[in-house]
Amino acid sequence: MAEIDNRSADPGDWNPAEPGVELADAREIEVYLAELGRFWAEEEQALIQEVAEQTTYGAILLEELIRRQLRLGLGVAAVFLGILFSLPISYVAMPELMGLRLFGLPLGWLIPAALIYPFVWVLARFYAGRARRYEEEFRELLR
Amino acid sequence: MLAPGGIHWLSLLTFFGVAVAAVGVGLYTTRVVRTTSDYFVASRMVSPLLNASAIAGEYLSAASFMGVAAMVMAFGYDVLWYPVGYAAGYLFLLLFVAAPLRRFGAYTIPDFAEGRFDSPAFRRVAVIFVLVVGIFYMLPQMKGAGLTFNVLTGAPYWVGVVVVGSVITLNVALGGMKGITYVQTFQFWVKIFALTLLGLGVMAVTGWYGDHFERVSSSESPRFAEARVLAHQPGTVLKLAEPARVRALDPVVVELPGGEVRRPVPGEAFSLPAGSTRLVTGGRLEYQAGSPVPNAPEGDSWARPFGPFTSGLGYPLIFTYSLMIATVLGTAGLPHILVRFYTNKDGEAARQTTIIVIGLIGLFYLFPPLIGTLGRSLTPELYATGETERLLLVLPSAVGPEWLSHLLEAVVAAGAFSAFMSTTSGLMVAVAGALAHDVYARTLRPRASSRARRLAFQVSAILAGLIAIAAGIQVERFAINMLVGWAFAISAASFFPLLTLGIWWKGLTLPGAMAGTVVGGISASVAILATMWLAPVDLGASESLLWTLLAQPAIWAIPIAFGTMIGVSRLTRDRVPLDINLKMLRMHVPEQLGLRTEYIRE
Repeated sequence: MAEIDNRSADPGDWNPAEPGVELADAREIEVYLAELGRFWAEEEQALIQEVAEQTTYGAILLEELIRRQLRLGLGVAAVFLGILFSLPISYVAMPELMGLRLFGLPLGWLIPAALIYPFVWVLARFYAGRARRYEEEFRELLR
Repeated sequence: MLAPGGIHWLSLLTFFGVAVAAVGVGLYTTRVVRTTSDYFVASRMVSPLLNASAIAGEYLSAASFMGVAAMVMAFGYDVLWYPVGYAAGYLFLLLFVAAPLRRFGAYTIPDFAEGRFDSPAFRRVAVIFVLVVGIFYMLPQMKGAGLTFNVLTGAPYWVGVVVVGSVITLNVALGGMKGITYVQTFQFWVKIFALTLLGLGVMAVTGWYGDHFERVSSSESPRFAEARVLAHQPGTVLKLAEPARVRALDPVVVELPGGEVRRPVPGEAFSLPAGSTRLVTGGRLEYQAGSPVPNAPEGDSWARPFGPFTSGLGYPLIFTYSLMIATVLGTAGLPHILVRFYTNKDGEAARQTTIIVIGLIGLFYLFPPLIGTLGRSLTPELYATGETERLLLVLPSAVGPEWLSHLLEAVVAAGAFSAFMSTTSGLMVAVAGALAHDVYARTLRPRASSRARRLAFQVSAILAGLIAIAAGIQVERFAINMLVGWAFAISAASFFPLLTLGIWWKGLTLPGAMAGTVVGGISASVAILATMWLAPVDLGASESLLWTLLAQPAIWAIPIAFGTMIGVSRLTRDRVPLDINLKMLRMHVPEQLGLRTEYIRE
């Protein structure tokens, strides 16, 4: 069993063929090859190495990916927390609105007791879709 | 305590049926558990739907299954933030932790601590917090097991703890992660079926949610619909907003609000005046039909924010926000949940799993607020005896016909067993995994064979089981929610900052991360321990900013943890790992590029 070598002091030494950093398992490689062909696989490996070696192009791409993902995550978190924090206050501040009835229950109760759950789910779907798109764009740019 | 004879055979049958089925599924799957990788991470081939059901099954503990509905009944609106936070916690897990943690290839939080900062010492610190959170989270489950067992069979509390604890330990030790994945999936569906059937069954007989809500949220206090005999323990305090007519059935001694002591003879009718009456000796009282229920919160404050639960200490807004933050952020750092994410195939599967979990848990949490409302409407006598924690076990008996009551009791028994079994199993895998993987294989014997590591896992599981049983017997007098809250607060103030900064900020250094984890975890723990043991006896009666902040420490402990991490990292800039770009690459680059590392190997 191989250990991960986290202590490689010089990132330039890093090579995907080394133990510890493996290619995907056999089945995935098959799928992978069907998609890209061996040529692209090799080409991409070289580019990954470039990113890890902090050459300008690769490092900028990675930083950009991380920055976009983080900004997306913080944005979704801010929307959710903003709504969550305003719920108890709006109950007190807008009694007419929160007293409106749906399925026989006032909105003020129905939102935290039921409606907020599908809302969280929609936010999660939105985030995952966007995050995946950013990753695809990253891969496109690496080519 | 309910009389043991009052329980129908059907409940006992389903309770033990679920236990036997769970062990059966566990044993069956051990036949397909062959490799070490199966054992620890179910070979990473668990599909998102299966994995999500297992995560939801593991997450929804006795506290969620029985505790949330009971607290909604007891305190009303303010308690809704618990389930909302428990579900929304998965959103934060998705946004900041799920995919990168999976891609990094860390099996446990200690793996992450060591891998991200190249520090075996940090692994040991993280292991301690994993063990503390895990064991503390197990105690309320054991309490739920002991209580339910007691209600169903009449056996003493400790018998339930020992029986249920042993069954779970055996199951985990035999099946490992792959074994319990199927068991937990099965148990999730048992739990949601039980709550759905209970909610719909009671509504079918007694009327729609909205009608019950209308009744219990009006300014009128709940009243006894018909004459009702209640047995009170000595020392019980009965708080009333208006006088109640009662008849003593036993020779009781009552201390009236003014301090006057009365000794009604058995059979004597008298009036409990508005205010707090104390029963010096216990005994049975018969409340007349239409008299108000003692100790029930008024409808006005029950159905609105900033009610009795959050405003007791005088700072309801701070209390509410801090509670929200703890539940939302605590979830994203729970060790036993994060271990499960490693059983996903890749980062994208980890995201899909989280989305499904949010859906499943959201569906589940529609029911506790409904059941709490039904409880307030149909079984208000639980307020008077201070037994709202038993709501789920008592509610079925409030509806006729008799066969329906027995059926609902039986499904509740099955759901309750599933709840504490699945969570305890998951915690045991996390704790045993931490001992076998982090302590044994990574620290004591780095060259141990697969077989030796597997044996270490089994020994650790049995050890964890024995600790949980021994400690579980001791906690009968502690409130379930205090213990669960403790685990969430530690997790939110220690692991959440560690994971988020470690994943997203290159500048985090080992001294910064370690200092922040320790400072955050310890300040949250100290605050809650102080609340448990040092707080004034009648906490609710005093207004105090200090006690508000100690009872709900998330609002200050999390910023302190983040601040410490950032500040110390800034001061130790030269300690940023040299290969930080490679680490960032591992966490953030999609797997399709062929880069892959795994901690658990064959």
